[in-house]
Amino acid sequence: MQAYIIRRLITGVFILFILSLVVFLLLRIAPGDPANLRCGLDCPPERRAAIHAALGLDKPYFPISIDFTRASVVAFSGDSQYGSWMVDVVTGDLGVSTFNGQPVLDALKQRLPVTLELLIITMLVTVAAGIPFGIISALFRNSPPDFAVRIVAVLWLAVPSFWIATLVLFIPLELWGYAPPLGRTVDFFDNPWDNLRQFIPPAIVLGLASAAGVMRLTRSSLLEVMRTDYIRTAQSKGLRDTVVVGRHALKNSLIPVVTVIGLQVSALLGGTVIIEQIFALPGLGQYILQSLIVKDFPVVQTMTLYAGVAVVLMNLLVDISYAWLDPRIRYA
Amino acid sequence: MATDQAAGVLDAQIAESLRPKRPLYVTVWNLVRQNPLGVFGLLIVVGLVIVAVFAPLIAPHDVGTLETSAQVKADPSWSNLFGTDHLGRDMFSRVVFGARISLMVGFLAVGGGTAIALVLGIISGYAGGAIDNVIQRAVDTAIAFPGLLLLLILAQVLGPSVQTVILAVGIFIIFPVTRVVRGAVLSERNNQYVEAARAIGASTPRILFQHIAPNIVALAIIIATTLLGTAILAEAALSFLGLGIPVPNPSWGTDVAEARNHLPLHIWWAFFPGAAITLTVLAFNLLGDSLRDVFDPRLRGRL
Repeated sequence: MQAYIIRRLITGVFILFILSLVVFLLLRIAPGDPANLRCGLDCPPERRAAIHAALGLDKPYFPISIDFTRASVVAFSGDSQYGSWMVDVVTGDLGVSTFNGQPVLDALKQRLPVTLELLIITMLVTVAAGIPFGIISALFRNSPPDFAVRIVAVLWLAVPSFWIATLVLFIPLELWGYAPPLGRTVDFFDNPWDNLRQFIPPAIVLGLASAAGVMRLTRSSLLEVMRTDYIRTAQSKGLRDTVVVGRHALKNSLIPVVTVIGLQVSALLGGTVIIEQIFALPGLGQYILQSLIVKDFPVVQTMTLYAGVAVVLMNLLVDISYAWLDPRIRYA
Repeated sequence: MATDQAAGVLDAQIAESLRPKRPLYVTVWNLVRQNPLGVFGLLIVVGLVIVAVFAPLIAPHDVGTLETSAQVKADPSWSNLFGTDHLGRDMFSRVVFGARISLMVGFLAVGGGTAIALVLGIISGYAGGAIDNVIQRAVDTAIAFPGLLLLLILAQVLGPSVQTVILAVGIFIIFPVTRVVRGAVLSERNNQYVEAARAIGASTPRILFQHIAPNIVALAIIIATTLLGTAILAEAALSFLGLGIPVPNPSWGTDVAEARNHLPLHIWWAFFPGAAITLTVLAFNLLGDSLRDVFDPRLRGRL
């Protein structure tokens, strides 16, 4: 197991290295000059050069660059854009925004709790809606409740979250003049009621699709387990249905569900970009989107890399918990 | 070989003669009874394709030109079935034309992405070794990443346009499909028919594309159908965020965003384009689910 974890960590570092290269290069082939944001389109060349120097954009891209036009093909440079970014990432220096000069660390401190709370409530919604209804659907297979659950699940998977979010936000406003608090978040410990009023609607909208996925998976997994020999044995011993399901079937059928819930964190991270924007929650998703739109690329590349780190770690945790929950699984 | 083929033809003829003769409507009725949702999905998809192809004939008004006499942000009525937007443009016509963009992005992105993924997956699964490793690590990297973020960055880098969205969504499709195709190739390549083909001296490309590929195409079509819904949702989300289809075009995602940006919100303006997205994605999901159930029940839960 230890060897497995170490190997996975090494692969993870490799994956993140590739990811950093891809994001770095993508953002550098993007059209547009960050200097335009600071002094406009008709910026005098010397001002432009000064801004580039201040932002480090005059440095070569990579520590090793290959120039086919010159005699000395390979050039080494101790001070390259990618090199200094990597040094910053490893030493934990997140840099400053090129757009408004705010340190990224400050933004992160303000915004991470917002996104974390949104993700936690979303996961709670996913589990609370997905697992019970999935169980009901499987136990009463082909009955009206089963059909109802399946229809709702297939609908939820098809509904675009930005559309439902827009309707959820504006229909109560039209009808009753009600709106949840927007913008700046209220601390949960200062005022739990206002805090939840602000977070629950976006969390429900964000959790719809993942709840539907969990519902469908719980249903098919439980149905599969109910067909196995050991369940038939338990039933023929004369155990009550509640014991057969509760003590024998559920445990095994929920193993794949736990895995999928873990893997959904990656998809939810993407979803926060849309939901935070609509509900005006000042979280990381909104930060990345706004930085991307104003071409604040240092912020974008650092935040995407950290999102990648979160996903790689999450996937590793999922695989480890999988082996822990199901002792039949052994990683070599 | 020739006698084998003749025997095969004979077998097929015998099977055909033994099959009970049923009129066409009975066959169709059985299909509908066994897969009511799948047939429902198929009918909607066919309907949408017709709407998209004949959009200029179906739409009662022009989507671009502004009629100064038209009422702004009107409620649904007989002359404007879905109401109008802030410029007095007929929303019904815009939703009809929106089907064109959505389906075009969906079919081109998924078609192109799946085709590339088929080639990559077959090479990766059959070659093994270093090539397999390189392709699979690329897939790992792409999957270990919130997909929407990658899409947003790509769309921003390439600049908003229809081609950009097709390209970005298409790239996004390649990776997961490559993985599934590779898995299928791995399980096919050890079958006896592959061994037999190799024994009679068939070249590797011939084995890959003549023998293995046909067995994977059905799988690819099922995955592609399921992904069409995902692709259309992705296009709509990109357009909603302003990084997809640029403004004057009638795109469902852009129209929801426009409705949201012009407060106070006119509910009907936001409602119909989103409902169109939901219906389209629902239709492709239902169709994909029942194709999978009919052709490959083993895939349950893997997609």
